[in-house]
Order: sequence, then structure tokens, then C-alpha cells
Amino acid sequence: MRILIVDDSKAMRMIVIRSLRQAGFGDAEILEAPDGVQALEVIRSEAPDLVLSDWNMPDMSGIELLRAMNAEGLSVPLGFVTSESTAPMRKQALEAGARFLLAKPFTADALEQALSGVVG
Amino acid sequence: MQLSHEDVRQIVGDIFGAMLGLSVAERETAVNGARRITGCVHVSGGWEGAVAVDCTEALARRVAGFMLGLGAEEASPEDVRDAIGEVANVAGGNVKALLGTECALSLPTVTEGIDLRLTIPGARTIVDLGFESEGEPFRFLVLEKAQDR
Repeated sequence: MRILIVDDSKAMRMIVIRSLRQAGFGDAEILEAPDGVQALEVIRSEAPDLVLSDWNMPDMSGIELLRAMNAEGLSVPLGFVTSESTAPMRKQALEAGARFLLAKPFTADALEQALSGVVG
Repeated sequence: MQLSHEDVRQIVGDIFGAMLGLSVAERETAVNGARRITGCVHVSGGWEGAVAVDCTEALARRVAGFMLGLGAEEASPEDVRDAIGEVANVAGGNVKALLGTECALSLPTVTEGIDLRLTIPGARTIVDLGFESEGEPFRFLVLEKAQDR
């Protein structure tokens, strides 16, 4: 399994990677991108099985990334891992096809639970 | 805006304890001229203000080291700024979730130095709570800008 982690913070990408290992995804190949623009390039070229994306990033936000994926017909499951989790954002995310929105700070258990309905 | 001390304790405990796995306790401790690093995010929209986490450089290095899986001394200055900016970003996102109004969060900014003082013209400090993590002090601050209307 290949998982793309999109976050402008390298430190937070590392936290997500560590949490994925703790959640039982230690064998996954991890790809990284610091913003939506670079993430879109990685999705086009590497075809990951799952995208975990921050929301608030420079250049292209997480929701803009998801809408760009939809516009290009890139049907990779995407879940948001973000510090912002208001009801309007959840609505926007789900309407755009996000599989879940996990609020930071999160635990490995919470990530495992969020992923349980998305990947086997 | 009503932000209780309990709300702040919960946010701080979730970030430093649950996510970072560091010890954390509410404690007022003087910083006494130590070099500090402050991460701050601004909130605009239905509520205007800022959320900041102000910590010693020693604690910032530990946070960065933990987040990156490195020793505290192995984290580069850029790593430390990134980590504290992200801690402020998560703190700001959690405060924003309690506002109950439509707002936007800025990208984080990070300031370093000695005798730092965070001010926003026209704003007042509505939360200024001291904590200690791994034996190092830090402060959690929320500044609220006066509403024009």
C-alpha cells in the first residue's frame, strides 16, 4: 500500500507517519508532499492508494487539492488530518468526497479507527 | 468570546500529552531571561484575534525532537520553528472550533528571542496561562481584537 501524506509541516508529517506505524500500517510505502500543488503531481505520477491531507497549506489547500483531484478524475481516497474541524468544514469536505476528517491533535487509535472504513 | 480555563487545559493536554506524549502540568514558572520561541496563528472573520504558544528554546527543541524522532540537539533551527509553528496551528484550530462562528486561520508565524512580548494593536489578552512540560515552562495565550461593530 502506498500512502501520500500532505502537510506543510515536516514535523506533523513525521507524527502522521509514526501514528500510521502504530495503527498497523508499518508496511505501507510513505510518500510526502508539502502542499496541494506538489501532492497533485505525486498523485498523477505515483498513483498512491490513499491520501492523508492537511487542510490549511500554502499554494493549494487540502480542499482545493481534493476538488482538483475530482476535476481530473483522480479517484484516490482522501482523508483530512487537520487542526481545523468546524461543522462547515466537515460539510465541505464530505460534499467534495473526503472519506473522513480527523482533527489534530489525534492519537494512533483515532487514526486507525478513521482508516478502518477506508482501507483494509 | 467565552474560552474557559478548562477548555485551555483540555487543548494543552491533548497536544502535549496525548499527541506528543510529553509530561504537562499547569504551573506558573518565571522564564527569567531564557531564549524563547513563540508560535502564533491569527484568526479572522466572525472573531478576530490570535492564539500563541510561547515556550523556552529548550522545550521547543524537545518538542521538535519528539515530532521528528530525533534527539533534542539533533533538530535544526528550521525543524524547531516548524514544530512550534505546528503546535500553534493545532492550538489555534482547537480554539477556532470553540468559537461557533465562521473564521479563517492564518498560517503560523514563529518569533524567537529574549524578552519577547506579543501584542496586536487593538487587542487584549483574554487567556494567559502558564504550564510546564518536561521541566520547561511555556505559556498559552489568546488575544482578542475589539469588535468594530
